Amino acid sequence: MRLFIYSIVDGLSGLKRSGISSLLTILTICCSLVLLGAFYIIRQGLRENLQETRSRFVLEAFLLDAEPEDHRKTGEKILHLAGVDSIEYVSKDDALARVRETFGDDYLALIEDNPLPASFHVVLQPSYVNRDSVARIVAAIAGVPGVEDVVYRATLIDLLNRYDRLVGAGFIIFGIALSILGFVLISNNIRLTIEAKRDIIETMELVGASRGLIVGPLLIQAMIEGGLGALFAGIVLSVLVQVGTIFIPVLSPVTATSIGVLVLVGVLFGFLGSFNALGWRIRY
Amino acid sequence: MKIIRFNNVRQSYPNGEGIQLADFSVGRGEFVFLVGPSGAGKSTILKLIIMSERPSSGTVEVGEYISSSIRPGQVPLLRRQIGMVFQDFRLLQDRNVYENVAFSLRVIGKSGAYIKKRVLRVLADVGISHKRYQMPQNLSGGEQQRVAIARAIVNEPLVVLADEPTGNLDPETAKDIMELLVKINIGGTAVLMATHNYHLVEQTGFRVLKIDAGVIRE
Repeated sequence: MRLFIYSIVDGLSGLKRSGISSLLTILTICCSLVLLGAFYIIRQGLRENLQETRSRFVLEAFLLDAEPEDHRKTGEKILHLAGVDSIEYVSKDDALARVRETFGDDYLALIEDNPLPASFHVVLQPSYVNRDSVARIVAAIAGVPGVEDVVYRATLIDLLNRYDRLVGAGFIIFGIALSILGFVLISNNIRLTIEAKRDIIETMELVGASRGLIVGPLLIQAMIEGGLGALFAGIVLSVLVQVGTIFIPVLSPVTATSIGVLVLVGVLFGFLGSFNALGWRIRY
Repeated sequence: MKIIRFNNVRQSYPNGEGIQLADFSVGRGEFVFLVGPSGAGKSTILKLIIMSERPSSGTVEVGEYISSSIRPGQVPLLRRQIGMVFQDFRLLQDRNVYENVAFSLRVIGKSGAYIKKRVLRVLADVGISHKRYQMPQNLSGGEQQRVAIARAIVNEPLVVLADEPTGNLDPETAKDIMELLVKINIGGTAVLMATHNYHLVEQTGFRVLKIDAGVIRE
């Protein structure tokens, strides 16, 4: 317990003692995490945008002529199918009104009876908007009594899937590369800071300081530097997103939770970086 | 009672240098000079005592610890029984005088109140308490060596090892530091001082170990 308290107190004092060196470390961590954070914000924005597009994907189930009560029963059966999120009933009159609204009265002047069928606009759960699931749901809807035909835009699904794969794979590769780059940058910076303390560490060893007494404060100092760098990165990202949203509306706002996660990442990077640098430095 | 004992110790390096034969002991409260030209192996003897090196053959005993059986985790415990003074002072450059001396007591887990009392006492003993809030780089060589000596004796070690402690000092300051080490020895702490300054050795009547061609002779 005494070692833990000493490590915290001395780690905090170490920040003050290191001065410019600590500031540079915090700045490096801040810049690395701004880069990493910006990447994840853009990724999140694109994912949400994709999800939003998926949630607007609609199947049209055209119904055979029947009483409204029969249509209601057909609708209930469709709603209970796996993957269906919601349905909207479009009666014959509603369909006619929509055509009028789109094409004008002149277009229907020559037609005496309303030829348009009633239909359901079926909204799917976003995770079901892929070629296989849609084909399965279309087949299930087509099998519901009272349904005459089901139509949808197959090309949109292919487009969404291709876009999703591209974004997913690209972001995984880029994300891993950026995370490694961030870690290496932070780790090397901390290693240099610790290398500059080589004489101090050796002297501590000579006066009989235990490994914990030498390493503890340096680990705590690096973790504080990591946390502070990440906190500043969170603040910078919040401001960038506020400004960026004007130009790129899909950007997700930086929440307190995301700043918290970023601080944890910073603390973890600080810990791992210093642990890695100290591992080979202490000789017993 | 012997606190340091070298039993037929040999230490060889790939370049052919090293210790050919060391067979001696240092008793409690003794003042012993270790003399020899630069590169003769004086620092090797000190490194063997603090066990940052292990002998190629033979054994080194320091207090209860033996080089052949000491575990890595016990090395810090051994070093807490030894006070080290170096030619280049080796102070913690990022801490002030008080913190440098206090560190030796923090290492052994003493309480804050004890540390304060003891550090102030030892700083007064070595005549540097008025500079306790100064950083090492603002002190003269003699003052830095006094701080190093304070750090070496603050936890009342069995023995103080001094490696050319006057090597970087002018003759007047060297004399002061020598007097301080003698004063510490009179207080009951053994001192093993490595030096190539024969003039300094001749002025005292203490026991002398000479290193000649890698062999230690009385």
